[in-house]
Amino acid sequence: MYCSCVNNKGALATLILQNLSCGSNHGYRIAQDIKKHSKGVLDFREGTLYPALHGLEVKGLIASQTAEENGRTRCYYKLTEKGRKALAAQKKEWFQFSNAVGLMLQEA
Amino acid sequence: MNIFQKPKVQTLAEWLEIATKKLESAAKERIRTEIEVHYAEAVESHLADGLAESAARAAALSDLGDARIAARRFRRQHLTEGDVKMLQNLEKQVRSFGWIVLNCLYFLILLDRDLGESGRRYHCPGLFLVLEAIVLLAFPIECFLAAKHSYTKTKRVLLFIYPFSGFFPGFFMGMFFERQPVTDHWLDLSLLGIDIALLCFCLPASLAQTRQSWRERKRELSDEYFASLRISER
Repeated sequence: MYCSCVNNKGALATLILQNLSCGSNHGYRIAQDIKKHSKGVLDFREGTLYPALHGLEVKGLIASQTAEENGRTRCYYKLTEKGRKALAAQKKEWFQFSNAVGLMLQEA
Repeated sequence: MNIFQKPKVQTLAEWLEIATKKLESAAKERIRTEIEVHYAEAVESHLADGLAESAARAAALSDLGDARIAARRFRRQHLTEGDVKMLQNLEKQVRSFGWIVLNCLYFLILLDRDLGESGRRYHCPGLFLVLEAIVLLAFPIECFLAAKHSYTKTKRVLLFIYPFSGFFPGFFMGMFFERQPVTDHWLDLSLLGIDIALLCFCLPASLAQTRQSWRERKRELSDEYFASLRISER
């Protein structure tokens, strides 16, 4: 199954925050982690990852830092305290939503 | 052949050109650096999967997706060249000596008018004059000096508050401190009109500027934070 709508309704932002909750990471690795952990179900165009990252940074949910690695200048992102709280809230909201939809579908 | 169909992007340079079009140079540079590293890693990954170099490059480019969609999203997050131009114009206005002179003249007119009849017009004439002096003299001069000396953080905060300055003598103070109905004060009301127009023009730009300054500040803070950490690969 392939789900191309991962950027809709803020799902990508939540997935980024979840990925960064394990530690700092750079754009390419974040994209690969999301695809790998969802077993390819959550796929998206990688060019749209960066506007989402920059948006989260503007909101103060993540912080960035450039670092030299293997001769490449990479931008690492890290979850802030505000981001941690936002992630907890978004996860709670998501589980409530998915439970509710699950209950409805079971009834049907 | 569909004549409305945009030509397909063939190289990373083209992709970046489209994705960063109209953005200000700092944002352009940052995006360029990040996407180039991302693309290089994607190419390496595809090569490791056994693709030929040209196929690996094409696959990495395809992974990035539509550059036009990315451009739209980048423009929501970063200042464009147009935004920067508008902010520069706003800065010029705050730096203008003429604006200070205009404020001083307005203060003198109010002073002349109010001193003569302050006894009967105001509940607390002294306080009203002090507030007028603050908003019409002290505050614009402070803005002017801040803009002139490029005290960036102060300047941006002042730029944000600046459009509000005329409101107080023009309207609220008049309402609170004067005994007469506010409609009697044609000078204050006409200034209020100018202030509202200025506010409509300046506030969005000031907000964008403030947002950008906070973005830079956050970046500085995160730089300091990461400088104290040793970043390790997971």
